Amino acid sequence: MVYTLGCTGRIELPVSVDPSNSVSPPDVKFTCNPDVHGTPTALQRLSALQYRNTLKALFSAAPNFDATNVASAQLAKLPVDSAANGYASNDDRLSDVHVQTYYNVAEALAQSVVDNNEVLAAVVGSCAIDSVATDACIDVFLNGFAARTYRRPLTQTERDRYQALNDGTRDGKEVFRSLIFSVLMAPQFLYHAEVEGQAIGKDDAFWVLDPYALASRLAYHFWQEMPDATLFAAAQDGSLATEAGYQQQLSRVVADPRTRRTMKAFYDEWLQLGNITQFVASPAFATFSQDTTIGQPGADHLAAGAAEIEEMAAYYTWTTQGSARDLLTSDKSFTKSSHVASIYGVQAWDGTSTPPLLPSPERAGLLTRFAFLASGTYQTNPIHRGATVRKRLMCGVLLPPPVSALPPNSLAPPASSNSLTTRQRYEAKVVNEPCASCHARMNPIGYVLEQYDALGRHRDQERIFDEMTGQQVNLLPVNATAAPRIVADDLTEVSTGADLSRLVAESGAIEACLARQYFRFTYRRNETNADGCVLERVRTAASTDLRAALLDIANDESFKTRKVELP
Amino acid sequence: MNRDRLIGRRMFLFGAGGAALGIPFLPSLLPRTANAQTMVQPKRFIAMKSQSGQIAKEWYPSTVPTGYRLRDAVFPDTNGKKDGTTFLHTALPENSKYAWAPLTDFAVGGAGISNLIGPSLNPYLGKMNLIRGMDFLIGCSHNYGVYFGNPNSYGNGLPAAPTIDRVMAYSPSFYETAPRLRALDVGTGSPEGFSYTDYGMKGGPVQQVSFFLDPKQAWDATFQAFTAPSTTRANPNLSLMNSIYGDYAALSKHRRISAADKALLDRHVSFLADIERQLSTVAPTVVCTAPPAPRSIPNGYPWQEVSSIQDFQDTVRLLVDISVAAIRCDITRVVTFDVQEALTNASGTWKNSYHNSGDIPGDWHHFAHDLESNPNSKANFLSITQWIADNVFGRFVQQLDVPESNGKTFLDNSLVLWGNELGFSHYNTDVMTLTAGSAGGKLRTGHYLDYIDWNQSYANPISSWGTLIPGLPHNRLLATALQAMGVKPEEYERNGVPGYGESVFVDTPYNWPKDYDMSLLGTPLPGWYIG
Repeated sequence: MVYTLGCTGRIELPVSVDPSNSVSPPDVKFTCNPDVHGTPTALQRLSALQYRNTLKALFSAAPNFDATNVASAQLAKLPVDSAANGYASNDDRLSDVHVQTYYNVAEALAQSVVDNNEVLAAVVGSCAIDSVATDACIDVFLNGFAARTYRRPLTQTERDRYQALNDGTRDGKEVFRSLIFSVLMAPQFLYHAEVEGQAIGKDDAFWVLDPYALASRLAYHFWQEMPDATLFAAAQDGSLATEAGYQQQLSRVVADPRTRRTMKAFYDEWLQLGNITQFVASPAFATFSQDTTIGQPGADHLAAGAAEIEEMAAYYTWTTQGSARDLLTSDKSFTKSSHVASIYGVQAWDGTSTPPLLPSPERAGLLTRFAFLASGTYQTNPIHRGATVRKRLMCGVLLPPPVSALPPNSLAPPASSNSLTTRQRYEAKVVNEPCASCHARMNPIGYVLEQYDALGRHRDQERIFDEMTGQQVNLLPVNATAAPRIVADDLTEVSTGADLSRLVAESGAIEACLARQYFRFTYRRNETNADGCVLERVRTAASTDLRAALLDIANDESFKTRKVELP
Repeated sequence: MNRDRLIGRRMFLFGAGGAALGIPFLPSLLPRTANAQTMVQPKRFIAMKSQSGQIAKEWYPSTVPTGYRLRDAVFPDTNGKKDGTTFLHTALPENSKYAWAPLTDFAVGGAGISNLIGPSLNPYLGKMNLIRGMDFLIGCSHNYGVYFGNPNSYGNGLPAAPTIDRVMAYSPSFYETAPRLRALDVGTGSPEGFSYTDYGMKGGPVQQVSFFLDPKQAWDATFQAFTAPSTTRANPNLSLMNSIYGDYAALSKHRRISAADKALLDRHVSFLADIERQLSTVAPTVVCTAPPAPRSIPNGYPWQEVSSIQDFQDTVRLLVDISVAAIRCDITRVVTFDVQEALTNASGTWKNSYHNSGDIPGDWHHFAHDLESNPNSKANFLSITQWIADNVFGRFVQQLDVPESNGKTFLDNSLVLWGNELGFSHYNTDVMTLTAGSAGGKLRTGHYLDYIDWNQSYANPISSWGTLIPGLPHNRLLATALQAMGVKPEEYERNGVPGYGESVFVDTPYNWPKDYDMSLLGTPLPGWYIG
């Protein structure tokens, strides 16, 4: 069963967009009010990914001690962060299982460290191996491992409290086990505390992040892990608080391979690559796919399709100065998979030379690529394809209709037919209100893309199958001409995927959508009207230079400050 | 840890009068024993599921005790209603469209009430219910969690939801304080069971729970840390909690921490306090004896790899007994038992049979598909259910029916709910439901409740399995179970939709019953729920 999108739903805009501009005008932009500074934000825990990466980095001084391996059984219980709010890192919920996992991980790692003198010496210092813990050795711990765990130097109060654990009731190793356990349980480790810094104006609720918090912002945004020694040093010597020092660190952080890893994750989540993980086997699918290599050893079409989009994004972000529109309209094939390349009718890309061109005019742009077109079954779904363009690439919000307002069976897919094309079946399904007006903004996008089958193969005719027997029972001509109404009231008809991509690009929605999506990814929350300046900054940059857009967010005031809502 | 220290720690956290940090009073920070003084009688939920549906005239009574007739005699000319089962002639007082009968009416001459619900359960009939006519609103094939409330199944596109066992396990109405273990999940065959959880965070991701197949692992999870206080060395981490709380208190007091941030830290601290309580050696609230640690029996997975029939029998017995002991020791109040592998004695020799959708000859799933044309397959299919009735459901009932503190038995204060992934054949109407226990008096027991309105004109014969005459949406059974366990609708209802489970028809064939009263989806079942 596949849900069809509702017939009485609405296409709405994110809160930060002027509703009068509708969802896709050609000049989508954000309003920057320089008198409005930031949005109050909440205390956030480390995301599951950040927690794992930070554990790994924290103990990296110890040879052959991978904290995530040592505590793998405990970490396996950590709840998966939900992408329900757009990105997994936006999941801010805290359950008992989170806290129990933090406890179990801290207990396991602390014990494992003290059980191995070599690891203990590397993590704390050689003095920790002694049978009696000295104040000096505890100071070594507090200045080293504990400060890295807190991501800032400890206050005197904190130091006193930890020193007090050496009260004569614990032997040396138990002291250090207790210390390691305790700092791994601390909120300064598990949360992005970000409460220190110089107030801006008279309002203590708005401040410039102190250098240690700023170092953490840079590291956790671009790397999804704790600051490295160089960032800590720049925070400690104050250079990070200077413009020159900040730019130096920003350039270094962005150039680090971990930034590419993070940006790849951003593109993956934005474009929802990897959502389809398998083909649904059926007799019809077997017939439909019998002239492909699906199912053959070494063939992994779905992963290869997602990889192509990642390669394309990397190419236009890092290899050449590309724009958001390049993502949408590129006529190059980036797949390194011979299996996907064969669907396009091109050679697989070697990853270094100029990518081969997609065959013209039948294929160009993001919307004509395998990753976007593959449905996992033998059938296409024009509603899903149209909704994906509206939601993911244009950032429209499709509100599902109230079930009670729908005629019976509205949410069921259109019935199979041996004599109707997919387009004809879906057109009949939404021909009447309350379905017609809303679906007029989604379905035609899918109708243009009907020239590609459910494996992304270009077609002029649609093969109709008997699902149970797998037999092909009909061959019907495809009508791929439609008015996608990318811009409201624009009734221009197109009939190729390339022209459809061009219309979306010309609407200006892709830059604005990228800005919104990247904002959400960076700040782990949805944008508000007060965020217009940073959104416009990213949007403007994305229209010419993706790398600059992704980097420049760290130069915005919003990245270097924090605001909270105090009683 | 002792009680005074915990109270002292709370005072430390909140300052004098609990007002210094502005953090609301948290019941979870109360000492367990203090809470127990005002705690109502706890209830327990034991969820069981088996596979591949049932055959109506084998599962339901199909005899004619005095005063009864078969449906074949009542509906002689109506195709689809002659299913070989006994016609119930007494209308349900709460709704005359439905019928009921005392279960004991069908235990004639020492026989069981049906071919599959055998005489070993006769002593408990007064505490059981046989419920007929529970229909899924979604069409689904083999699945894990549909019966207990997760409609997401095999790529049907429906959003996943936690099963009701997890809704209970995270309900503050069900668990007034954090338990040692929110639920114990055991089963046979595969560690992928029917339970799904969102960890009590509504709207969050839902994950499938992993089940224990080895009784030693189940014991470790429940009783490993359960030792007498006098023999327990204090966990060294207990002495560190004050220092850890200090960090949270300091951050919570920071001038730039908002009210929402304080609430988050407060929530974190409450979970820490739960852990601290578990680390302590506070005696359980009821007198119980921890069962001895069993040997490890790593059979049952991968499929078919049962080292011996005796091992498998021991495994199931131990899994039930450990589960019941965990309930009696109040280590947990939720147990899930997924039966994906069972024994059959159809040939006179015990054999194990795994439910394998690969349809391998000799497997439970294959027996189900093959039973209409193969008497041997049918015999095996029936034998499997008989074995489960006696050795899983029956053993739970027997082990739980011992007195506890309020003069009732553990069974009386529980709901044992045995369901299936399917109804008849691959259809999802009339999904088998057998229960035991009154949930502390919230449920009427001792009845065969038939929620099929046999006067409806709609009827569709389904070969020899059963009928497609509509009963009631299975959502109402979920709502009944939740409310009987004390879970409030506001705790389990989602998106303003009454009841629990998928509330619209999804992927149902054209001949599906669709004339249910959808306005009653959130209303407990009449005749069963007392309230």
